[in-house]
Amino acid sequence: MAPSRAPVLWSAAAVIAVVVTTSDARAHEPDSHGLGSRGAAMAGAVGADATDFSGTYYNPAALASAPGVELAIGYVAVDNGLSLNGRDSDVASVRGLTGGIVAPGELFGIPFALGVATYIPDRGLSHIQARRQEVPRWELYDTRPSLLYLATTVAIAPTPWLEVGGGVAYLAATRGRFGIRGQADVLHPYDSQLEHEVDADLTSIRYPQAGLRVKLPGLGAIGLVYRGETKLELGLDAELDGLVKFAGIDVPLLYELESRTVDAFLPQQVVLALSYQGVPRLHLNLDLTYVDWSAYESPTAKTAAHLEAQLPPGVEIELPADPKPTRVVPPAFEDRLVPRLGVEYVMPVAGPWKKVLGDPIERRLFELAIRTGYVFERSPVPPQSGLTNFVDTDRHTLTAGAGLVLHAPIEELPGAVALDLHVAWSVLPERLERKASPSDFVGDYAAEGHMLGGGATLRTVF
Amino acid sequence: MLACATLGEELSTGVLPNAAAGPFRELRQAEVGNLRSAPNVLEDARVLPRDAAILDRDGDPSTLPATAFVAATVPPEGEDPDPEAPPNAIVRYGAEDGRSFERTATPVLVPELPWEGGTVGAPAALLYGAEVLLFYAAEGGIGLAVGPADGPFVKQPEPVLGPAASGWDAGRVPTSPGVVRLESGELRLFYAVCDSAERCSIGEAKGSDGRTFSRVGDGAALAPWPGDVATESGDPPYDDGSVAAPAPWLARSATGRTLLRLYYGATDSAGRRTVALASRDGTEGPFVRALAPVFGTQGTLSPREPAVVPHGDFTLLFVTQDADRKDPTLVVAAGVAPGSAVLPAPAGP
Repeated sequence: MAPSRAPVLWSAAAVIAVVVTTSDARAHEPDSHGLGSRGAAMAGAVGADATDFSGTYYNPAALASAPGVELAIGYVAVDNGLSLNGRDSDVASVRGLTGGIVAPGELFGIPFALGVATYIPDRGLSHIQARRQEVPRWELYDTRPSLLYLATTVAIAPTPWLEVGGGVAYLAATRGRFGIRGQADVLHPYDSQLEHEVDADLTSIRYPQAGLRVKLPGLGAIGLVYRGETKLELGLDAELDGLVKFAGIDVPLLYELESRTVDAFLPQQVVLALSYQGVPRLHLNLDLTYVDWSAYESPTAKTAAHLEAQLPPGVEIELPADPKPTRVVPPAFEDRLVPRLGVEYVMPVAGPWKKVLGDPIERRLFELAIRTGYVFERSPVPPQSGLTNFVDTDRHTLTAGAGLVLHAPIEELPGAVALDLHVAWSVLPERLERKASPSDFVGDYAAEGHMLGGGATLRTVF
Repeated sequence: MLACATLGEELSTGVLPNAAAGPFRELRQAEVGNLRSAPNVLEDARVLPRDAAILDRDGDPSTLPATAFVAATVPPEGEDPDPEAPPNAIVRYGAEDGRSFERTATPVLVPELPWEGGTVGAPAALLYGAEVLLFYAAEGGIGLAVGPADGPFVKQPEPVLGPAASGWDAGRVPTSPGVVRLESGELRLFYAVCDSAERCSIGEAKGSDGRTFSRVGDGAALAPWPGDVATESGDPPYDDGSVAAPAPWLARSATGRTLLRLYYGATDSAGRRTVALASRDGTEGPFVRALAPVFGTQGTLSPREPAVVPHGDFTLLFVTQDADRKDPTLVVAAGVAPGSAVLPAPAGP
């Protein structure tokens, strides 16, 4: 009697599935760590106060106040020190380039601006990690993908006190198919003739962004921002179609795997932003962000698989039954209101006073901006007492930074050259997860951690 | 069956938390030494060892040396053992790596007392100070022998738990003992009682010195799953036929919670055998079943009589099962949880 090959085939299929569906993953960078060092240094509390390229993400409307054409490029890095039961969870760090362009102008006497901003992760354009729902993962920082982020916006100022903007943000996404055909000789593997085929598309998913900003002369500004919901629907089809040769027996074999998952879910958000600028050189900002986490969809893969083998008469092999469909437990995340506080104070340091492009007051040649901020993000993840293990804790983030600004350093550059630096320290206090069933195979666990991030952005306005 | 004198600590494995309580994968050939053929760690046609109790010799989960006390059928000189005959001896095998047992057995107990009815088997061992409490099943109930791990053992003259005069298991002979020591020092003895050879329930008794026990509660600690009740997973029940051969383990979760785990041989209504797990939050109250069996779901070798030995990051499971699909000779096989565990190098060739 020929030995059963079924377990081997299932194992091979599982390997194929894992190879295709798993890779390193990181969170959506602008949402988690901000875009550009000025905004990041103020904990992202710039929804009413981002007239540079980062306004493309924070509030598209504010770009209408851009003082001139701006080019920006920067780099951000965040080291994740997240642990479960005191052991490092190996959540990948976040590293990537940021950059953008802002091009203001006038059309029929109405000020307008076009903006483009991007975040390009170091380690590829689209990373996905699909896990079973019972496998513990830092849901907001680990299993969501690290994707290329690109946003394009347009802003206009129909009145001197009102600015309106909107645009579309893009995230890179993949869909793929993996196939193997041919003959596999179990006893003489080097004689096997196999051909494989990988068919993957790099595509994009889009979501809308819109904002408005009301300027309050002498006081500051109020902003209102909407960011739409988006999600990445990942499809994977794998097929193993061929002939397995073993001890003179040819067994035609067909294995089909179909997996569908939703990942990179970004909930829709509404931001109410206030920027108080009543004191010269001081910006005091408060943003409140409503995040629709309750719409969060489980990233658990829904997988179907089927194995067929045409066995010769008399061969006793018990083929495994098709696996049961995955029973996905709704994640039941809860909506959250995220407060952000940011402060910026600009000190004139040295050099002559100058008239600067787009600025109503004179500035000294060299100025130093000091910034700080704080954000509290209460975890949207409910207690994980059941089958799922979406790990998360509250997150407190303290930020600080500085901006070194040269105003109109040469005649040909009437704007400014600015180097913004920031650091961010996040503390994720311990959260204990206690399983309702004492027979749970994962068991109780404690989650905690920290994140240390930093970055720099060089901006030129001319 | 295991008796654990210390509180096993549940630790994370790798970078992910895992209770190391199951599911168990079979040991691989590279993980087993002493010329054993994985996953079988005890196979001896001379005495047919089965129903293992594995004693962590020093009670320290961080060290590996273990001793297996197993039921055996020792045939008359010059004859082969009868696989259908009840066990007539308890023998001992050592393993320096906790799993690759020696190839020669050392006799420990034979039936001598009238109430034993010519059979001793289903051992359960508990390290109790410098001595080992060796519980065993015999015709008239559950007996106890006491001695150092290497022997000799001295038997108590009467069973420490015999048939109850009244109550839910009145008149039925308790068998298949499993014993655990609670943090308070109290001993809990779990045992099986059977309506027939095919349908058993698990009872519980308590005692302070191992010599005397009194039954706990007015019903079974764990009974077969009621056939007319849906399971939490929505899957067909895996133990609606019988629950037997209890093996308790007092564990502590990563957050400090005390859990009383009870492994047992499960049989569904179709007669399919697996090894299953039910646990208590604390040491009292009802047992809550795991969503799925912890061993034997993929095969057809009918695993039963579990014993578990925690080693911190991983837990070893020992079961008695058929040698293969067409050979009902019983062997002791081993598994490990979690499946990702990396075991220290095996002992011997």
